[in-house]
Amino acid sequence: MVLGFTAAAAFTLFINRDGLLHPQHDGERLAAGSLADALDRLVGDPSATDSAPLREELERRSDRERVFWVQHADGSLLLPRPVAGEGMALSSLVGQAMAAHSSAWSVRSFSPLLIGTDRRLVKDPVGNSYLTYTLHRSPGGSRLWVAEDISTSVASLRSRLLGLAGVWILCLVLTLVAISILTRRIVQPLKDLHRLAASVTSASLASSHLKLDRPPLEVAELAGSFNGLLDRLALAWSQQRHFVGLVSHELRNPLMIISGYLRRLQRRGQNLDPEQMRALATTEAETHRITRMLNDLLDLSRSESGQLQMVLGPVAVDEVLTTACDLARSQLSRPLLLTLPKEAAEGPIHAVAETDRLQQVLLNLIENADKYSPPGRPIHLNLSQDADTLCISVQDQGIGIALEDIPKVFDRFHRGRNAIEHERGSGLGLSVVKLLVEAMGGSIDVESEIGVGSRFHIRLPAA
Amino acid sequence: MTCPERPTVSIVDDDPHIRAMVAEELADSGCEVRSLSNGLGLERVLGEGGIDLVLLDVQMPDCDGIQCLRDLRAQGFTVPVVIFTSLDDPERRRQAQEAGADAYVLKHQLLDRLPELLERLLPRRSENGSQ
Repeated sequence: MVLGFTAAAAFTLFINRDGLLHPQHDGERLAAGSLADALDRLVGDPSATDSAPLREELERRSDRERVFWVQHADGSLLLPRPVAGEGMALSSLVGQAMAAHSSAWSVRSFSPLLIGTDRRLVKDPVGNSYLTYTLHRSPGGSRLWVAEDISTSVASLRSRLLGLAGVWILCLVLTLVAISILTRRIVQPLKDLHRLAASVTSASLASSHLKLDRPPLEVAELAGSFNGLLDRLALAWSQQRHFVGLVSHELRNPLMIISGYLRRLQRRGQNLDPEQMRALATTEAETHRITRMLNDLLDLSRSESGQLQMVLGPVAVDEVLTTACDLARSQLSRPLLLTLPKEAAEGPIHAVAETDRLQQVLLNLIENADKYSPPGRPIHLNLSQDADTLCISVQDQGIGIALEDIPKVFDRFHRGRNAIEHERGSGLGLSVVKLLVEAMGGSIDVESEIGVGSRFHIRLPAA
Repeated sequence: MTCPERPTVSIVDDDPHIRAMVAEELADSGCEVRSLSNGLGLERVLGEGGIDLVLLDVQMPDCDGIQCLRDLRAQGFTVPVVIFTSLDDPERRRQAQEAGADAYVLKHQLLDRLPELLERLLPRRSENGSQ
């Protein structure tokens, strides 16, 4: 656009200059007609040696704007008689003109493009610009020259050039403004699209739709297909949720019935011998294992698909600890000791968490401690409180974790060497614990010594 | 219909085995039990009076337990309701609390938590010393 306008402006300038120069040429040609005739007569007639009539004609035709002179074939010049005081000026002008014409154009000069290759610009000592060129060549080799004062033309040309430059700059600015507005119209919706795409989460899938303010057609189409994609994702998401729900329901109901009846049998069975009781206890324990594993797998699958949602809020941690201990005690055959800080007597101690998840974490840790502790050794749960952090610790007197296994203890499917020898397990439990604790905005770490026991610390932000 | 010493608990679940098992457990804990296979009959049973606690499943083929609870509360029934479900979805838990549930219990923990729930939600039991 700018280039096009520049080209048009340059072309206009060229035509303009040409137009400025040419009308004068027409005037000159009229004036020159008689001079050329006189020159031809002089040259054509060898007897006529007196150049006075030609000189008179030159003088008559020459004026302030235009000076004519003759260059004979032998190089001698015939100048009009100068008006008093201009003698020096005229001869120097003619001298410059002759010198300029005898030299070649410099290669870099653009002037020939504007004024033509057979013309030269010269300046007289006063500073006026003259355009000099041969007006007529007589058969004998004499030439009629003219020097034309174009100072006024150049001045007007210059002012027009300035005007044109002004218009050019204005156009340039307008073009740049137009381009930036257009670019913004296209780029802004794309930026919005990018921002939205980056901010979409599983929770906001259904509600995030791109709404653009009068977007260009192409961007509108892109936004349309983006919104369609979001809709399909939201649908797939809800279907997956539904599926997870269905699987949980279909598997948990039978598990609940199995473990419930196993429990009832052990409690109410009238005439079971110890071996049968032990068989029932093992079956019940295994059922619990399947249940927990199912929960872990569901949590992992939810976490991987971004569906592990937490509705975080103030949770009475001391109450959750008490409930978890009560639940765990019904399945443990060892002492489970809970120590609450004395503040708990004054009222609930709140942390930012999620009740079910926190309980799941505690039960997982208690089960873990139970699994790797020799029979009869107690498990200690302890709650302590800082200014803005609650710390829950779960301590056992079990087999402990080897130093080299400690960094990997929360890795999925990782099991310590002594753990493998000691108990069966999936290696999922602690990774799910870490997953849940971190999803609640907390942190977990462990200290352990082989043969002495392990102590897990959960830190949660206080509410 | 109910003797004053024995509180009556209604268990609503579409699964007959779960109904039977929870009913047995409740009976062992000293409660009268009204078993219902879906939430549609619950309104009528509550209207008859004498129900002290409702254990209400969420996922049932004919009705959604939480919606059912909403309807009951809208009709002015104030009986304590325990929502029990196999789905540990915080969103459902929030919905249940908003609908006016007194507790939201996961199915695999229901039997373990039953004594505590009965203790908390049936104050008459301890008052009457029926245990």
